[in-house]
Amino acid sequence: MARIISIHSFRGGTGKSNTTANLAAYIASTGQRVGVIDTDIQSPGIHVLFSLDPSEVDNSLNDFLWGRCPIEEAAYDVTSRLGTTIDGKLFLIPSSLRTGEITRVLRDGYDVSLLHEGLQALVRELELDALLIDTHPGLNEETLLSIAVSDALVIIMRPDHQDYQGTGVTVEVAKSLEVPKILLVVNKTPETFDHADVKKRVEETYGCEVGAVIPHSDELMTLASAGVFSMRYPNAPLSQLYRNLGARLLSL
Amino acid sequence: MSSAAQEAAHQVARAVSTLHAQALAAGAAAIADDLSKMNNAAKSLCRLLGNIDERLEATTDAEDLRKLRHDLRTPVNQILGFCELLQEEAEDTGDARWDTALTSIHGDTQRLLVELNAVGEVTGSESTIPATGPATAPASASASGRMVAFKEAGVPTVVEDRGSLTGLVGSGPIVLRGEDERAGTVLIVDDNKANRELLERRLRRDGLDVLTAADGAEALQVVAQMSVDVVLLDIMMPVMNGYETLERLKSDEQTRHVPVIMLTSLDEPESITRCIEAGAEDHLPKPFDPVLLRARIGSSLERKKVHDLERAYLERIVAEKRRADDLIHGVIPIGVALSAERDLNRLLERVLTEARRFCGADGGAILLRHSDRLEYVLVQCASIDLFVGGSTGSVVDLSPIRLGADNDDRSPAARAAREGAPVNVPQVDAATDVDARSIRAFDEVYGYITQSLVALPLHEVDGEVVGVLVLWNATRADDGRVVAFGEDTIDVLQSLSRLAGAALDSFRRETELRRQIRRLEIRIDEANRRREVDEITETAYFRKLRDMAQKLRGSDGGPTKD
Repeated sequence: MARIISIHSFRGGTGKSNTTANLAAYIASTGQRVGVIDTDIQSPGIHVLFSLDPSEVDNSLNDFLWGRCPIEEAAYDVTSRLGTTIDGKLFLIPSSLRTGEITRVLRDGYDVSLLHEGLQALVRELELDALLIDTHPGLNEETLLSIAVSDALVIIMRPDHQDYQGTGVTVEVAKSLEVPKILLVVNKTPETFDHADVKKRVEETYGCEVGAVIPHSDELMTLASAGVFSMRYPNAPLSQLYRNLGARLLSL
Repeated sequence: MSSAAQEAAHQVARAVSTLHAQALAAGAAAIADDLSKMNNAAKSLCRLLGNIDERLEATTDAEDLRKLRHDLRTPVNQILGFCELLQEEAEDTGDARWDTALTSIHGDTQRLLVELNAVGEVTGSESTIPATGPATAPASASASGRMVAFKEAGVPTVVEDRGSLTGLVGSGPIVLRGEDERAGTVLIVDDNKANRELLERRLRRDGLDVLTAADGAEALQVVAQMSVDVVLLDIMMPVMNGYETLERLKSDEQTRHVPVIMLTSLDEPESITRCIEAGAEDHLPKPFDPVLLRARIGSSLERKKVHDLERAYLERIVAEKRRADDLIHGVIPIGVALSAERDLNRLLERVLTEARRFCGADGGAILLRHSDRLEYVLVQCASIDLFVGGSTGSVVDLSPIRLGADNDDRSPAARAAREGAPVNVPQVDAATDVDARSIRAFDEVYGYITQSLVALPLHEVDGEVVGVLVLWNATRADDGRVVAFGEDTIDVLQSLSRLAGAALDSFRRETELRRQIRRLEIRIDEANRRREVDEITETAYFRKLRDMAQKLRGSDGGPTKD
């Protein structure tokens, strides 16, 4: 049975796409077939991390949602673009990178129930062991759907007042949808914080396990935007944090 | 010429002898004693004049003649000197019994001096005596009776205007400083014992301290060992004469500032010039006029006092400059470095190391205050290779010092903490105002000898003492000798301690701030959260989703790979 894992954050800019890419690459490196679907149709971005150029994208998630193609035809094998050789497979289903299509989605919307069908078709057609959904920030219909169909939910938050309330709402909603496994990731944590103390306090506040407390580093963020960090810099402490998080997710 | 001198000498000798006998008969022992010395001088003069013609004939050069005149004048000067001294003392005590006789003897001796000055002039080998010059100005019309007598006698006068001198220094004792202070120390250098004694008596009467030396070599020793304010230096002396002594005094950096007054004869103007050129501050012609003697010594003492003051100011300026340099180049950079230090142990080690380096202390310790006690956190002692506490990881095995209100521990560290001021112990084994037991305990444990010590409080910015910096055995850089911590050094160490205290203070504040920042505070408005959750979960769409999710996770198993 394939695992569907949603990676969500209540607000944008939390490092959600980066975390998704690194988790997906880790799971694929364990020999699994992994799909990553970018459901952030309004502001797609994860393709950059897999070095997928817009000119290479013939079909996207948008084409599937508008009935132009089966979803598997919007999947791109990006395994060879990780900068290292891995045992598994990694597919990316990008959202449309064409501004006109983004505008159309914003104007017309789409049939959310189609998304559910698409996810199931992807698992089936690409024979996936795991499907990671990079969601749009906030809680709208498609996000709630992603969460509802997920076996596990990873909620990314920053140790910042603007994230505390929304994270609490997301956790509550996910619990209400009976998502079997919920992991919190505290990202962009200032170095001045005692990370063990942060983990403890966040767990106490939300009643959820914290899978990782990831430090903030401008230097690392600069490097990270140019690819999947943990694949490019496997020896960095940050890469180890991603591997630990991935391993914890698989063990759930 | 010589027979007249002989006759005059005998006349003086008879008068002195008669007066001596009268004094003895009257039981005036002190006066009789001086008259006895005058008697001896008169006899010695008569003896010298007894064969003066033969000696004059045997005299071939100017040096011999000068010596002969010196020998003749010496007893005459003594008679005049004692005579004047006795007259002054009689005036002080109101004893007028001897005045007439003394005045008569004094006048006769003055006339004798005129005769003697003419001795040998016929030979033409001696330069004539100048009637004018710095020390030979003629007496003015306002001169005293005695001076008038000189003038009337046609004596080439040896004194300046007495009236103006009196105005300058008065006729009383020389008092240049406050009553509790000494007026000055004069070193008399003369090979003639009676001359020394005469001068000493006179100077002591003026309230001066007197040291004596019989020749130049002895004088140099005295000046090297004692504090001398003025040297009265005779020229003709055995072993080392006045010229050579003067030259040595003026060529030595340590003694060149001591004023020298040369004791000269009137008939030796070239010697006066020579002495002034060699650095003598002044000269006094024999026989001494008491007022002139007082004036010249007073002026030299004043010069020495000004010089000493100048030197003290200069030393102070040098010390102040050194202190300013120490502050600018030593303490301030250390303070800046301390404020940048992020590790407490390294901060403390830096404080101690820099403080020790600054004052050359062999050892030191830092004690930090924990409520009512001071605990050793760091001890260093270079000569016994002791470095414990701080980042060394080793524990300081010294008992804490208690500071409770009921505790009267008088160890230097406890006192510094309690009083908030430095405690200096220049000599540990002689210390009476501190309890040295803790120092001795340290010495015993480590086989050490603490000789000098200073304890300085480390103040927080708000003034509270947070610790104590202790330094011991200040070591001189040149010879490695252990010395006391100087006041200037302590001043600078205090500045360093203040900076160290401030650095310690800011370190503590920063640590506390960091601890507070590290505590993540998560605040959630529960009511709002509940409302937001309800808004989502109470929609039809959500209920549909929940049903679907339940179905997915139910028996139908959800999406599968196969």
